[in-house]
Amino acid sequence: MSSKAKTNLEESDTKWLDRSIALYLSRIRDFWGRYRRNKAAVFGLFIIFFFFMMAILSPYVVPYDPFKMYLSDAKNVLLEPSWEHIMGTDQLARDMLSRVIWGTRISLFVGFISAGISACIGIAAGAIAGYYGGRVDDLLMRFVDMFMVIPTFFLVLVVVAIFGSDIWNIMVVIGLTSWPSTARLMRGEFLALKGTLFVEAERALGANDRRIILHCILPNGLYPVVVNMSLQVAGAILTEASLSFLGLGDPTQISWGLMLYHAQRFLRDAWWMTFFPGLAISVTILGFNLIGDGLNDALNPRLRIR
Amino acid sequence: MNVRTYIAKRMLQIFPVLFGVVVINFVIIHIAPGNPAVIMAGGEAPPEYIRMLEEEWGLNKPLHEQFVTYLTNLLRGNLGYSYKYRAPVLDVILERLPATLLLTGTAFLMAVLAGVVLGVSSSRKPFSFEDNMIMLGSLVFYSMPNFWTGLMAIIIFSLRLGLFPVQGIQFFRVDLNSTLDLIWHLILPATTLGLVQLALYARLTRSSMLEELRKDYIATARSKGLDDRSILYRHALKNALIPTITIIGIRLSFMFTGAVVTETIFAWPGIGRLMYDSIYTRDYPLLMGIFIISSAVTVLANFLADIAYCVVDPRIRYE
Amino acid sequence: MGQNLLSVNGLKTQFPTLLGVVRAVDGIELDVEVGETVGLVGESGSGKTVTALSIMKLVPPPGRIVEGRILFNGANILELNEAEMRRVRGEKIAMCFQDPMTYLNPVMRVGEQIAENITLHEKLERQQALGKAIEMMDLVGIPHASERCQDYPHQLSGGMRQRILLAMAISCRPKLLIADEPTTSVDVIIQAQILKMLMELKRKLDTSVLLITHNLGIVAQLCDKIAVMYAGNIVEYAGTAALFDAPKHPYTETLLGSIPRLDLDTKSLKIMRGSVPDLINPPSGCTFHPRCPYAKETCSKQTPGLEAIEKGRLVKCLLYN
Repeated sequence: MSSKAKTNLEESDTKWLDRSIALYLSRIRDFWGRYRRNKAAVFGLFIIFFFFMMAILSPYVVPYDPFKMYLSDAKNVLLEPSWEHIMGTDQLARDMLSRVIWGTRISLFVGFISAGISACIGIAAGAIAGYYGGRVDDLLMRFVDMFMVIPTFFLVLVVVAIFGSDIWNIMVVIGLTSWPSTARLMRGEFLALKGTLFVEAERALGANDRRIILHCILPNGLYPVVVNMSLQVAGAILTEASLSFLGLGDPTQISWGLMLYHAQRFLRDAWWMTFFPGLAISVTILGFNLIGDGLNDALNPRLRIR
Repeated sequence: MNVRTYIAKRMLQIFPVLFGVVVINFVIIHIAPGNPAVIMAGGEAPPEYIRMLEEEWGLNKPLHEQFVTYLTNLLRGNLGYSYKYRAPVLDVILERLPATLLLTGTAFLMAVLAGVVLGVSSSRKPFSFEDNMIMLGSLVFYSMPNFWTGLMAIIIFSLRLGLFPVQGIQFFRVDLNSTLDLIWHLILPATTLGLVQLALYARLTRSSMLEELRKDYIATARSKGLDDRSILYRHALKNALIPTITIIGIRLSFMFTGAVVTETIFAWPGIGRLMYDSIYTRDYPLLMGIFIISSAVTVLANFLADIAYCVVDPRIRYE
Repeated sequence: MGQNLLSVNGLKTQFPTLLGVVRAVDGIELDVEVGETVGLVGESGSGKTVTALSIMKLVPPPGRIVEGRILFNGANILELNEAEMRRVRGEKIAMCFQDPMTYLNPVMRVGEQIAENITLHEKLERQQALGKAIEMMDLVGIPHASERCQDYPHQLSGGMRQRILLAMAISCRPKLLIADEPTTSVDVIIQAQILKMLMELKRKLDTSVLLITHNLGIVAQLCDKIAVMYAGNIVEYAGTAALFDAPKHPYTETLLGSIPRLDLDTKSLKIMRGSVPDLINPPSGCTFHPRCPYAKETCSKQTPGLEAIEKGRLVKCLLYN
């Protein structure tokens, strides 16, 4: 008898699970349908996907070893773009194309990790401040106000200059300086959703704070934060590139910014050293901006009268 | 009169921010690897100098006393001493600040004016060819890092075409020749610095205008027989600029940060360039001093933007 | 007896949408004589505002006027180009809109907004235009007009804002004033004030008025003639007294019957069954037939024309044709 009851329970559990998954999948399908309508956004996604693949598959895709200096023949230095070296070579006879491809790794790595750190702190801080309000909220808003006004890049510069250019340093600092904008968004959502009937109903059913925050408000309020994430990744990539350009990047890595740093001496002689790495940065940032736009359109549908 | 309360409130918000900046600096000095005195002296200072610093800033005393000393020193205008320049940090910074303000100011003005004009003309015929081109162009330029734009600009306009000088700006005399020379030197860096902002403002203005043009009072304006141009500029734009001003205020700090890279590339003698140099000489007091001063400047600029907002939106003035 | 200031013939205005073409105005005839006040009544969605916008040639895209003539002072304004039409708007035909809060520019002083119309059409100096604007504000009953003209819209009450809109519309003494629901977004007390003001204006100025509303009470007091509109068509057109005494069209009859009256001992109100028709696929034949208590076989097959059954009285119903 009890075993039969148990199987019934398991069955209804799996049915609920199936239904939840089905609901989730249909939501994703809906979302994708809306996202697809914005062609530029799809293009952006394609760009980032392409770069992502390049980052992962770098060792297999690069035509030459990006670190090796082909100095056997001094003539290999500063070669113009040709069929052998599509993007030319740099002053140490390293193939530019390989280096640009390899550069995707550090850029995307820094971008996502920094944005991830920012997201974790920001979502948590924003959720708590928005939900509990009062002094905590005041304190958070002070922080947010401060970070929105001051030149945060200067702060990053100062910290990296003093603490060192290790890649983890850089990522942590970027994350620590960009979480306030995420927190602000999250807090806004929490403030808005806190007073809905939906939440009241859950409370009436006996849900405790943790459950309400994690299961009710958070999943619904996450949308603008997700949109913002795309922009945060773009910003982090730009910051890392800027740091490397100023010579503060991690010298052990191949970074587009660092390549531009070296290219400065050769502006007159080797335009390709400047053009290609910078182009890579621009395209990456463009990709994330397009995705951000697309996410915004897909998650906040507005009627357009054409 | 609610304007006074508004301004007073905004002014009160300045102090916590500046206080926060001071706290951050203090924390950095003390959690940095190594002796705080070394940090405050900078990389190249001799030991006697470091000992002198310990006295001046009370580095032997407990933390909270140190903080009070730090704060008081700061308020007196003592931001430390740059060993490399053999001068107080504040003086070194103030000497270079005008150059940066000139560059940033020009870039900002250009970005706002050109951006708004582009945005408005884009909104006249939404989704037309002109509109799409402007929006696409904006997106592309918005994504280009300003150091790349600067370098490419030098390659194309200075080296290949010889139109503009690469470096070498002088500030000494104020006569027609010097001013023209100044402008000639200013064009390329200011454009580079302002390009990203221009793109942003163009997009913002356009979407703001489209919002406004959908509103009812535009119908009233049309029913009076006003032509498109009057409606666009006299009615829609005035309203559309209000949210734009808020965003401009927020973006002001990015103008400053962009200046570091731009000044470095174009050898512009401002505080951005100063910051770059002091990274290499490990002149930490100068570095932190620049951070403090530029924070103060951006806070002030933000405050001015808030006042501008108040002036432009009568609903706040006469609440 | 006067001649027609405005004469609308066979006007059709349509809106193409993703679901089909919405026939907002489906061939209407409407006349307004000089000095006359004509009421255009009907439910929401019957096409009243679109008619007004068509007369002003302000139909928002993608809508367009597809057919018809609109004769104003003898000339067909549908043939005017945009520049010529702009001279007509605000000066010869003026419109006063419904919700005064959203229809006024929030960052412009109200005096300026009125003066703008005057400067545009009457080439006056700014100071003179402002002076005239203050006169207009006086005319519509705004106290302390010379101080009030410096206010912004959000500083005024709803009734005041409605008066400003009115002042704006009459500022150049238009021959025709189209008032779109001037009393709808204000409360009853203000409604009464505005009504009173409109009646006074009618007395003082020589303007013809096309009053659009769904409030039968105010048309009874203000209008000389009434046109009843349903689903993009005018179904009845008569003098006010005649209409209220003896409505001919079944729609008008039900409409009037559904108003509770204190002076009659009615047991129950008349209800109109059914709902507002789909303007993309209107019912065949007479558009009202699905809801008409007198509907016959032929009503779904044959479309009645708007025809005169006596002098100055038109009805669009097969009962009378």
